[in-house]
Amino acid sequence: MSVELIALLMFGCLFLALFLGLPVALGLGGTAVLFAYIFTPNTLLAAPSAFFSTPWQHILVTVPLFLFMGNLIRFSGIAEAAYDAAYKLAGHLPGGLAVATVQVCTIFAAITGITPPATITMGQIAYPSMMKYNYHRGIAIGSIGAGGALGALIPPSVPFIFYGLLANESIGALFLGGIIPGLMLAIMYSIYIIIRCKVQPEMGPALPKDERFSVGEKITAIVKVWPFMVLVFLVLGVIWLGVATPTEAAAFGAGGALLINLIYRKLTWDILKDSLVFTVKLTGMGLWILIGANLFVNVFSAVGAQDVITSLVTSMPGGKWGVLFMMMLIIMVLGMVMDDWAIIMLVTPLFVPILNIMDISTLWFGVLFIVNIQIAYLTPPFGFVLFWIKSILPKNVSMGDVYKSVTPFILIQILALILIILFPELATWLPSTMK
Amino acid sequence: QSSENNDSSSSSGDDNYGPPGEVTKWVMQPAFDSSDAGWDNGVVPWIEDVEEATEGTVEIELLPAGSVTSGDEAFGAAVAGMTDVYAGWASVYGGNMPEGMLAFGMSMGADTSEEAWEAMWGDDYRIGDLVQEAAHELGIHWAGWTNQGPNAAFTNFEINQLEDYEGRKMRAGGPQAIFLEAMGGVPVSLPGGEIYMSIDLGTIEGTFWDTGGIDDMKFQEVVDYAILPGWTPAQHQEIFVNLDSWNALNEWQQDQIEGIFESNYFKTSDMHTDNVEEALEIFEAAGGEIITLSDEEVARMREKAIEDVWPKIGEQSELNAEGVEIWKQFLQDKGKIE
Amino acid sequence: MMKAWNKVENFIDSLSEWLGKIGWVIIFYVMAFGLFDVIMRYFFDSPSLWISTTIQYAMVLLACVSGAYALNSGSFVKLDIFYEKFPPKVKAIVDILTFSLTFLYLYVLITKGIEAAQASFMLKQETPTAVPIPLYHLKAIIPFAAFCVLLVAIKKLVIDVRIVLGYHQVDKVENN
Ligand code: NA
Ligand code: NA
Repeated sequence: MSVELIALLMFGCLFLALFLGLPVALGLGGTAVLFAYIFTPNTLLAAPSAFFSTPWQHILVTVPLFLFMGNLIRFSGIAEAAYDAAYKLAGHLPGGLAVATVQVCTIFAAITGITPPATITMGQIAYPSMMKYNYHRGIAIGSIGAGGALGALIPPSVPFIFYGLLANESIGALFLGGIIPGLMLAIMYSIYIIIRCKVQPEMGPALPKDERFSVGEKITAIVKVWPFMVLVFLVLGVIWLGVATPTEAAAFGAGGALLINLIYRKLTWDILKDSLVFTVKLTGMGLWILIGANLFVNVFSAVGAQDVITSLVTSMPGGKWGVLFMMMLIIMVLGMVMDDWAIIMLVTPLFVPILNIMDISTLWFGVLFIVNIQIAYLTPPFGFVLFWIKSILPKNVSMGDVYKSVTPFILIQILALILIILFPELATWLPSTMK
Repeated sequence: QSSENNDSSSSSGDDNYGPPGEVTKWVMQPAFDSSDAGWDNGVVPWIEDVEEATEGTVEIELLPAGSVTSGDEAFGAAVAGMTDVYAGWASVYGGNMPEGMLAFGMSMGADTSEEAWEAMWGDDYRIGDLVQEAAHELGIHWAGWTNQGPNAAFTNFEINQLEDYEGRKMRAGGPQAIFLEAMGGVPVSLPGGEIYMSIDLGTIEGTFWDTGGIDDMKFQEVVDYAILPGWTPAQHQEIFVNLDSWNALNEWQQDQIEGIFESNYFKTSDMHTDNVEEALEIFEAAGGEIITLSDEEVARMREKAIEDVWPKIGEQSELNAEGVEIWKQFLQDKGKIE
Repeated sequence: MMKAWNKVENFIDSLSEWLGKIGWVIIFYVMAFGLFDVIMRYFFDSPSLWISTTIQYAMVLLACVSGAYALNSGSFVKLDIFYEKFPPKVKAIVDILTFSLTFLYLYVLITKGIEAAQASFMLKQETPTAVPIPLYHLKAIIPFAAFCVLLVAIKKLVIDVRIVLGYHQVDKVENN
């Protein structure tokens, strides 16, 4: 049997199993083992080996810690304080509450590794508030969804950790690389919201005059946001100041979140338990996918199929740009049907050898990848963030409403992706000038 | 010559001493991939020499780490017969076979390939026999060796004497951590990919690294000093063949592979020396300063290493204890220690 | 017969719960010791030569204990764009088909995992770090962990078979 055919069959088997609803982790591992049985029985020992050496990788400890931190902070009440401050500051502007939502999501993104905590929290706080002030549903849902998606791009970021691990790229550098594109997206969302609401005031009316706040009230509200700042410092500041490695910063963040919940008297046993359950389940799922992906790649290259992909992609017309375009397209299409972790773990090991051959920076590509993953969060039919939003919104909001709301934000994301492709410095400048 | 194993039984039934009719195909997965200096300067020339010496009756397919199994697990894969050949450092596989540390190179031990060769295979010492004995016990055969040059400190602070390590935070793993601690420094464990950024941010003040590989890691961009001769002046990499695979060769094939052990050692070690020089040139061109420690300081560090670091190697196994004593004898005979 | 099976189901449920709780402890371990390590190093210049290795150890252990826990609670992510639309019986039939891949994977993890653990015991495998940490016990846990996941997968298989045969009220199916 030719190597090309084996490669094709391996992907065929994998996708068939996945579309038939087999969990991604088991689909990857099962397909790998099946093909190892048939073609390279010697590699079967790679299964326990991958199970051991995958979680053994030092940096992975950041995953449960960032998950734990993000989930704990959801209950601390500081998101309410932050939204309150943003609402007092920006509420008098057209679309001000939606802009405030994006801002709070941006700060939230800086202390959580994934998207759900910001999406869920802001869905609970900001959505009812925007409805109360007669905002259009499209702007309300869109700002929560797009803002929530920033959690993966603005460091700390679990998707960056998985990518960096598989691409052998520095997690610290990737974290710094995500900051400017993340802030840029947040600004672009805000500009869009303001312009849209200026042109169509019924989309997001400014607060009534009698509900505006004095300078004193505004300052008091801002001061209440200090725990956010402390946490951002604990996570990003310690990396920046050279006190701790990304791994250790995760422990700082989790410890800090625990402490803040303690100070705010929000550390009940139920909250702690809920956070632990969430963390262990999600980490377990992530580790099992990563183990399955590593095993899949082991078997894939043991049967010689890695070369097929490499020669296929390098024979693409258009050279470096053609390859980059193809890869971005593949990620975007997969993003419509797949979960972020699955996409990263599936395509990174296949793409990275090609990036190295084509001399494309794995740092730059990593940032492009995660910006693209943001798009995946919002694109139907499988949009991770969309599901979270839908699950917390009132029953009368249909999935169609949600899809429609996020469309303008997806266009903004695509624009950002193009900008970072045209100006790689947006991603690479910050990591290169840290000294 | 490491020809002590010519008596190992050959499974081949025919009486003709010479190339067999069949080609043996081996799969080799080292602990590293093609970005490592051990690839082009170590395993690739070894494979070429083996294939040539066996007149094409042994063919070796070389796969990068991560193909069949991860780098950390690659040694076990060769022991288990999942692959036929492994290459790597005892600082990686030493948890499976501590005797590898004798071949890896003792901290502040041999300075040159000639010295290392003499300690390992010279008639008066033959430490290599101990390593081979341990390997055979595990089910592998030691079949290749190369000196990659100094594994040295690359720092943002000057080191002119032992005391300069005091309180300094450096990335150090395994035996490097033992050495740094003995010198009074503070070892930080860190994945390889995080070192550059961590030095840049000041989280650590330097790292130990294989000198020939510093340019691959772009350390010249973030580090000011290279401290020679290195905590291990001659860091070695070993190649092991699964013992069943080895025994499946006929006697002639085994002899041919044994026959290139020494020539390949010196050939590849020279290639590594060139590579080290090139890396140091790049380092200096980027504004780095090379500090070569005085003989006096080297002697002090050596004494400290023998006192604090070597016993940790010796206590890992009986063969290691024996090997460490021979290493000491060797340095005494060379007049390097009292 | 059904009663006996219900007991088995309850056992599998409490086994995965119990494993999950070990996971909770691991989270605290990696957080507390991770913090302690940095503090000792930066403020007291007295680094630990074993904490970071035991944290890696703990992460492998976490992968072991979280597998059954996450699968049993339906946290293993799926691509449900098509699957979601299948009627319950079709879902059950499809699950039974894909179980073969799950079984194969776990079977190999168990059998090859035992082989790998035996080899590790033979080598008395430990970490090549300054403070050597033995690895063979940990490697022996891997096949056990895979076995626990297999139990959960079999539990789900039995539910699917009962749905197909019409014995099982569909609305009682959780996370499936
Ligand atoms: Na984030
Ligand atoms: Na999507």
